[in-house]
Amino acid sequence: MTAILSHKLPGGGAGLAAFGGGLTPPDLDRGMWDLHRADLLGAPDAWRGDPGLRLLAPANAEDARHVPILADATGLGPVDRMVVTIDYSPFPLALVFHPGRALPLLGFGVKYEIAGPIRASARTGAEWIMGGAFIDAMGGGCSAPAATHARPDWQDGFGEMRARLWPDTGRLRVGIRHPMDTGLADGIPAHHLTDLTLTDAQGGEIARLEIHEPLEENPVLTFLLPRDLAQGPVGITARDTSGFRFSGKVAP
Amino acid sequence: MRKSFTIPSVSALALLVAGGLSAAVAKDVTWEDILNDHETTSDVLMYGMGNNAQRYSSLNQINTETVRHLRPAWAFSFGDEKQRGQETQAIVHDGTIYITGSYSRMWALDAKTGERKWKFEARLPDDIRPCCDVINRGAAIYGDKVFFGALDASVYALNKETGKVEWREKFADHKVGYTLTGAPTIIKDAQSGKVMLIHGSSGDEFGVIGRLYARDPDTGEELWMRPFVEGHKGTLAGAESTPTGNPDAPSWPVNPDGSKVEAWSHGGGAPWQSAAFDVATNTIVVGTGNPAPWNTWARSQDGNFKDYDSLYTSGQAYVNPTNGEVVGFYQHTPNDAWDFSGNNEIILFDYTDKDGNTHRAGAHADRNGFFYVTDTDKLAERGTEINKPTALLNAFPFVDQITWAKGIDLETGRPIEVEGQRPPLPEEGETKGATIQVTPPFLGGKNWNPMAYSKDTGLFYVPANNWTEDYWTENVTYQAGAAYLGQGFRIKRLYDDHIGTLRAFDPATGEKVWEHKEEFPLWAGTLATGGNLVFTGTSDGYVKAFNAQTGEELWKFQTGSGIVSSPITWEMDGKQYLGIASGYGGAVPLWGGDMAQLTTQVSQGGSFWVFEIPNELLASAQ
Repeated sequence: MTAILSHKLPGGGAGLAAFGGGLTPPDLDRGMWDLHRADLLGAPDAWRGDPGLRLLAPANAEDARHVPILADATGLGPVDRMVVTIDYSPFPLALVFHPGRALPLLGFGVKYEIAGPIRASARTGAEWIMGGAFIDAMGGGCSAPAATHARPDWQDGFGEMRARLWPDTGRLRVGIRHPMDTGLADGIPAHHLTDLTLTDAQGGEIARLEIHEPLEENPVLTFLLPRDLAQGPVGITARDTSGFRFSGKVAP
Repeated sequence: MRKSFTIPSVSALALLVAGGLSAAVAKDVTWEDILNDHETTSDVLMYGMGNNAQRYSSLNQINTETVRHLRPAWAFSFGDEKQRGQETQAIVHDGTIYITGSYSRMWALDAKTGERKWKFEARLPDDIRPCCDVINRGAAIYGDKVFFGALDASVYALNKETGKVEWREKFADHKVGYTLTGAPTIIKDAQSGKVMLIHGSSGDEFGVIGRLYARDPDTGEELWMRPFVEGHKGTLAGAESTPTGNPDAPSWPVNPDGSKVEAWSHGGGAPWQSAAFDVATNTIVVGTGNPAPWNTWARSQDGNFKDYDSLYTSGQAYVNPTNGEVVGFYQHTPNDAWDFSGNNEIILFDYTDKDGNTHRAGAHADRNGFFYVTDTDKLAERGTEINKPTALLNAFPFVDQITWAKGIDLETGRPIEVEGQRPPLPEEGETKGATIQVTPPFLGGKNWNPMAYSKDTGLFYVPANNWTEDYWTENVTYQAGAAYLGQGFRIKRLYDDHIGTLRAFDPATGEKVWEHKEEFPLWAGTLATGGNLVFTGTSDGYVKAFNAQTGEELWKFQTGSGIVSSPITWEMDGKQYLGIASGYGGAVPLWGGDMAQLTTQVSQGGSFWVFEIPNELLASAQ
């Protein structure tokens, strides 16, 4: 096992230190895990836990519309896919991350509808490794209207991107203004991001993210890039359920 | 997602296999399918049920004998809280119905069962500006995609199997009033061999420049754009192209300093209804909207309106799909002072005149109350003067008590106007001009709701309205995103017993063969069939069938909300079906003045109804 890399991020060391060991029985292999493994992971024959995969999350969701998560599988062998699922969400599939040439680490925020486990499952070779956390929550994060709908026009600032690249650590942070409407709030149809892709200077794909309803409003994503790619520039493209397209570029 | 806990892997596998199979057998729509749409009975691929927009089907299982057995097969609720006007016409392909709804929504339904396959809901901005309700009139289909316009002036292409967005193109700024309500149409340019998606724009009431667009259906890329205000420039292949007509725009007045008047910069002419396509001459045929503002004096030179026609508004335009050039134009209402517009559909048909001569012709029932038969070959002819007022073959009134014109001069092709029917300017120091009464009102002798043509009877079935209005002018200055009319109005009754009147006309003689009166305004499209039937819907909720020859009402069914949509019919597994959307709304409840006494009696709704003759009744009927 290689050393896990979360410590390269600000606060990462403290986060790792506070890591309580993740999901433990009975939450570990109960809840919706059997069903989600079958539906969302393609029904693998076997799975296991591994200290090389850590999902850092708060024990309590202070704000059910913004629950910060760090899924770090950098302690595993090569990971070609990471799937984030939330047991009791009305939308159990949150994200599918294809790290490609990025490291298998992803920081993001989710909406929480009801207390329960969140899991990150990483595929390395033919093996699935799962790690997770139980998050207590008052809930309602998926069925409340996005905060932007309290403003005169949700289109003000819609699609604006902010990004920063730190070449020394390889940290890349991307924020995009989007209501990420789930369709559960009264009178507001589903409207959320579906895809986000990072590209290198030549336009070649670095990493790709399939995005579903639970990702938070105005999401901010953290990636970790290897040294060569972290010199930038990095292109960012995204699209949503309504066919809106977003693009930007970031250099150190 | 409800799967057994005991055998999850097996059910997941079954799901994958089923998904793979359905994708493999899904049929794409070809140009040949669309070209033959007016003759094939197993599908409905075009708004207007074919390139010629005749709204005729040869199906005759449902006929004057059997129609009394017609029963609902299923109904589908559009759902949500958004029950507004449903002005749509459904498309049927390969066992699936594609139907659009208010607020830029679309559904794919199993044609047999009504089960929902997918739903798409455009996320609209809060400041859309549709003048006349948040409606949509239908979709187009080609290849593996379905296409429809959204109220924020964008066009969507969705995968027809999944409903996922393939592309979205925003073509204009919704904040200044651009929007899109009409169904796009698919055509094939004979010269380039390119299949094109044709769509227009709306927004004349906000002073937009009306535009017609051609797009690549695969990518959404704009191939050309054509504005319908004389002298404004179009685009071709991503670059500025030619001006429409004369670059000096002599049909629009000038200021003392020689510059064009304000109205020219906001002149309307929006082609907001669906185009027909004349395959023989490779020409797009589309109606153009009213000039903006409505106030005639803003488009006249010192009170002279006769020499300022406000081209190319309130008429029918003929466009070359290869380059987007206007090749012909016939104006129904020169310097339109009444918001008559020219948008109503143009049905292409083989016309035999009173003397027995045959012509390839276009039929159009205008909001101004006159029915026009125009010469398609003359209007599509290349290399001639664009404005062709003499391309008229016949014209006659189709509603009662028209006041603004005595008739249409068949020699000059121009209306014989009645003096004093243009609302006068306010007197010095006044904010409103004197009120005059005009018939028909701006909502028209017939509005957008399409008529049908039956080859069997040779008659046109016109869903018309007898009503009138008070009209007066107001001062007008353009302000982006605000109504740009310069005119006030109040719609009023003409008769106590009816407003709607479904009328059958002989295009050669102008004879009204029959009429059926309706208490409420007619705002639904029509359908003629080989079963000697005409179908339409009423604003008080009935779908009705009439004998096409006599006008006798043979059948009706109450759908629970007003009907303002266009019916279709198709055949599946040896059975004929009738489909129509129910859900009240549109311009009448918003702008209908005295009509409010009627329209407030109607419940809102949003559903699609399919009718059939049950097997046992079909057997006994035969």
